[in-house]
Amino acid sequence: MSGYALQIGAILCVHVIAAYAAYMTLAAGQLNLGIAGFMALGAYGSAVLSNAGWAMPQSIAGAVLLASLVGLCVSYPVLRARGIYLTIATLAFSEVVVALILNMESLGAASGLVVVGHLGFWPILWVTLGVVALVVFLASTRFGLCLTAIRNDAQGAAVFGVRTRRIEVTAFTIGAALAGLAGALYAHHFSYVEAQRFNVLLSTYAVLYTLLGGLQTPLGPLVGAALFTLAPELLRGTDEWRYVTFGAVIVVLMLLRSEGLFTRSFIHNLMHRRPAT
Amino acid sequence: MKPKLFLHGVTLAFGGLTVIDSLDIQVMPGSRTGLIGPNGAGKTTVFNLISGVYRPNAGEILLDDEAIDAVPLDRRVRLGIGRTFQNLRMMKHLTVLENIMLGQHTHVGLWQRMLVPLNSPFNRAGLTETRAAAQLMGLSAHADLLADGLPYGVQKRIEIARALVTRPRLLLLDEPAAGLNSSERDELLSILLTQLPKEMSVLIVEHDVAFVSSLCDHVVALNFGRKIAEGRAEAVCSHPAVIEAYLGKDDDAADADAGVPAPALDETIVPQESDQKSERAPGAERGTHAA
Repeated sequence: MSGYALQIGAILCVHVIAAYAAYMTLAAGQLNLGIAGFMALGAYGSAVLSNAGWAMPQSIAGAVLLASLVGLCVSYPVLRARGIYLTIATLAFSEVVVALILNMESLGAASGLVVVGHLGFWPILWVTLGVVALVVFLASTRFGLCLTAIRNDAQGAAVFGVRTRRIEVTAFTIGAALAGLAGALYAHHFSYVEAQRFNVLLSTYAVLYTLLGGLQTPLGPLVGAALFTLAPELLRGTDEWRYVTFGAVIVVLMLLRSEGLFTRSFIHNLMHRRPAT
Repeated sequence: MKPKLFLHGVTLAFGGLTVIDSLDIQVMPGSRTGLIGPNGAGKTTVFNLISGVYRPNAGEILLDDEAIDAVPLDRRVRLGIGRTFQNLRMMKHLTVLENIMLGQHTHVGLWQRMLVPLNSPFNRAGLTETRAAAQLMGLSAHADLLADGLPYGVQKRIEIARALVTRPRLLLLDEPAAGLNSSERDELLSILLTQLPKEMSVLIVEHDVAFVSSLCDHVVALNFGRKIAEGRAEAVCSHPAVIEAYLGKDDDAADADAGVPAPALDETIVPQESDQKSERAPGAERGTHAA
């Protein structure tokens, strides 16, 4: 494979994991726009640890742990808010993380940080497949059932004994861990991190992949991230029109399939080859 | 015999509006108790009080002689209280079987809850119970379809199946027959008559007098959050206060005798009466739907 393809592949993997980070909270019905902040934690965490002499797997694991611990601590106050207020709180968290990094000379401030240890495409791919397997597994358990139930009707779920807050906190924390992982892989692939890269647009894209792919199945984020990372590349031939085309595709898709590309009834119809019931 | 459920002087007010006014209701163990009353009488609110959606402002709710007022909503189902909803609460992104499985939530252990795929052999007991409940309610043909978009009557039966797998000792059915056609209704009645365990106590809100009379051994009539009559189904349904609550007071007063046959307690024929009452009724109704 060419260097170009490997590079696109690695970016795609990072996007897929980031999309799953967004998916975890979205699956419980809350929009987390702090993905970039947790990615920054993961990226800088892993960078600092490997620069301090840790082996790469350990430093990535340490970064994921850091992101999940911060996620757990943040989730309690953040999940007291609901809907748009929760989203704003996560957005604010993300901005605070970036602002802190930008002001810390020890982290390179605005000039960024060189990361020791390079990670190629293949290990990133294996990790990504592991993440997909993990989320697919989680979605198949009662935990996944509870996530969907809370998204559909949180009070209705509570009547049947679902501890909605616990499930939401767990989902948020797993999301933070995945975002941290995505950030750490990103840092080691490019061997360089800078705080400005972790802006709100990065979080928005992670959410967009998930929503376009569909929330109803754990494969939605994978499909969404793959399609919308590769589509701009495939449209490269059309030059400056590619973002126009890309934007138009998103609008049309949202009009035609507002629940995302990959819905449960879509899969059901694929397997049974008969009209929707 | 001690009552299974005892609402003792329960009062609930939303702001200045008293929706439930020092209400006493007893449900004896193994009994089938009906709760009737016109729209806005507070029937669903009583259910919401029992299942923990609302806390009473005064009075107490005793289950097996123990006050449960401090038990939060998500832990009442552990006490053996299962319920259905008047306005369906289906999880639209779950299949029929998965919706029913939600009711088992408190019976599975922590690890099984999180780490066992629902379709794996490790969940066989859960699947078997769910399938049995689905079959009992005649849902086998729909088992793997998404609940969203299924006919109203089917969704009603999913609600009952889901309440049954919580293994309730007290079952609260909120208008189980509403919106069903007559054959679906008869089918449901025969299931409820023959398939529910004898020791299960059941409290049913229902408008259909024939349904209530054939199912319930005891009926409580409510109006404006107060108990207006209580006793055997026929007696309560022909009680003058009940007839007045449903049909309003007739100035001619000729038909207010007990000899008049009980009217069909159909909400569609309930006329609005005095201004003051019609103002209160929608307020109470809104409170119940806000749940």
